[in-house]
Amino acid sequence: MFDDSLHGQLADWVRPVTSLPIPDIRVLRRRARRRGMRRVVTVAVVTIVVAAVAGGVTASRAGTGRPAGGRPVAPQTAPPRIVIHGRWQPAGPLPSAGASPAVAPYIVIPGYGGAGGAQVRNMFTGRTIVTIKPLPGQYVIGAAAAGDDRTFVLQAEMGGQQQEFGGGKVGPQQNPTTIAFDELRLGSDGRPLSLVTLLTVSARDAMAGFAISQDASMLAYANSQNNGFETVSLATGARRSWAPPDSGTVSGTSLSWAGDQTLAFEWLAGDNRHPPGLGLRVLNIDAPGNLLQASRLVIPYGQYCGATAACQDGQLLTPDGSKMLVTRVAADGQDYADSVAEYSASTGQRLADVTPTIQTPYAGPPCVPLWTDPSGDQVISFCGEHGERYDDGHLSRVTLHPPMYGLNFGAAFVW
Amino acid sequence: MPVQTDDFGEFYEASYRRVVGLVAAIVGDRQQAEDIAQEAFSRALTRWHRVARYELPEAWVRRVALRLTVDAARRARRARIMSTLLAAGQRGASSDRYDAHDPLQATALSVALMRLPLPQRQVLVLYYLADLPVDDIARDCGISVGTVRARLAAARHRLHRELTESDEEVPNVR
Repeated sequence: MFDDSLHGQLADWVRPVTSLPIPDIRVLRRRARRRGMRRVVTVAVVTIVVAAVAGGVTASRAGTGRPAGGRPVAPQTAPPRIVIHGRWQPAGPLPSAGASPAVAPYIVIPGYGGAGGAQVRNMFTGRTIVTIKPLPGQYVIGAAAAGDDRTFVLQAEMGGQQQEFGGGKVGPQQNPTTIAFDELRLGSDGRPLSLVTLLTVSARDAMAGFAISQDASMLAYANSQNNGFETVSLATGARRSWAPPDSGTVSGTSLSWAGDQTLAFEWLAGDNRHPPGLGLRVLNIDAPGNLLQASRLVIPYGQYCGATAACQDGQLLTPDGSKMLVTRVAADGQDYADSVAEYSASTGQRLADVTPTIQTPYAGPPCVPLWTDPSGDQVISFCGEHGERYDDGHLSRVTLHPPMYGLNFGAAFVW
Repeated sequence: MPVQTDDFGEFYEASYRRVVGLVAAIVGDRQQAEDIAQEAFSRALTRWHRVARYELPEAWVRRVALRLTVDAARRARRARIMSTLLAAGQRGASSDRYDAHDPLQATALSVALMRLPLPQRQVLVLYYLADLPVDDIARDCGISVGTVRARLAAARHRLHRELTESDEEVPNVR
């Protein structure tokens, strides 16, 4: 029969894939996450255009920051050139302390549809509020949320060429030239009020992974040139480049703000296999010194990753800066034990488990914290295949409607 | 992450193409195959101290990759626009279609393969492309040997029927 030739035919068919160069190890984790954001598939592209594209003369404020001083840092090119578009406005107020998650029902899904827009959904009902067309020439690849659940920042690629498929253009651009950060404002009903570009930067410098401060005034985005990140004030244009010493790396998807001065990040090893201070750290962006000097270690890597397990890039710093919500993965025989724990951001002490612990033979689907009130008294997480609510010491299951889970769960949407 | 990247590098170089190839045969899409394979290897990298001690680290990666193809299929079922695009580019439709961005060339074999239910497709690809014995397939898929044999027989029968029927239409398959 055809058995004899089947191996050969299959091998020939997949040869366009197997003959490609093997991707560099260093981009494995980053690339998988970045691609995950592009993999949110869609039902239909029903668009509501919320484009307020004012012409606007841009004010280039490149070079106003300074690279981190002190110890030698990773190879650092000139500070990335950025353009502030001067349209920033403060976000709304934070929920009150101990506020119910019901006050913050909206999630934003980036890269929605072939056109690469975004979609707003109600996380508790699964209802689609609106599908938003991207600004002209853009393809949305990421999103971040401010503290009011009404202000979101979208990261979008510009330039390059879009792929063609089935007679139409779909998917993100190939070789984009520019990364834009756009602000999306929602009304209380979740419908968009405005979508404007705040800042643009060369695509060579910015990569997947960014966070917006609680009042939406400070942006932190991963810098692909130095494996660190940039912090930029959208209000004043003041900026600072944070490059990790000793060729270490910062996980771009680990960035999380408290207020507008405190930023949590995960510092990972680079060429140095035993760097001191590995783990989750908190940075005061106004402090002097380089990245390590201006930050302090809160939770050593081994305390949330176990001896041989893996991190999941899942932590959240509570908006008041008092606690960190962290995905814990511990080796447990042949399986892994996943949960979300709450730590003190000042002492690093483990305060509570905010989800049950699940056993899994795989790295995923992981347990990830998704939303917290300002103080960490109210937390919503997703663990295994269920939403979990932590209500000031009490655990209960909650019905959630995430757009996907499995591959790169956390990168698929922002809450 | 404190992993022995030198050791991992050798393993990665030696096994990446095999893994991405079998994933590509399951999902029928180049970009998605790369995405899934890289995700599986990245998970191995982050826990390399542990995975390296296994007798067959590649089997661990393969198992994760197979699981990810299931996850991808779940996502595809939730949202169908890309399925529609794929169906427009190929013949027929399957409930296990993926959100393809860069589909491999459509041949009679690939179309027939993509029409197979995902569990049958996984088994068939592992058996014919990866040349794995049924015992290893059972381990990778987390199913019994008997189930592997049953799925393999069903997949082979259905594939043969599809290819025989389409013989005159598509010259790629003899």
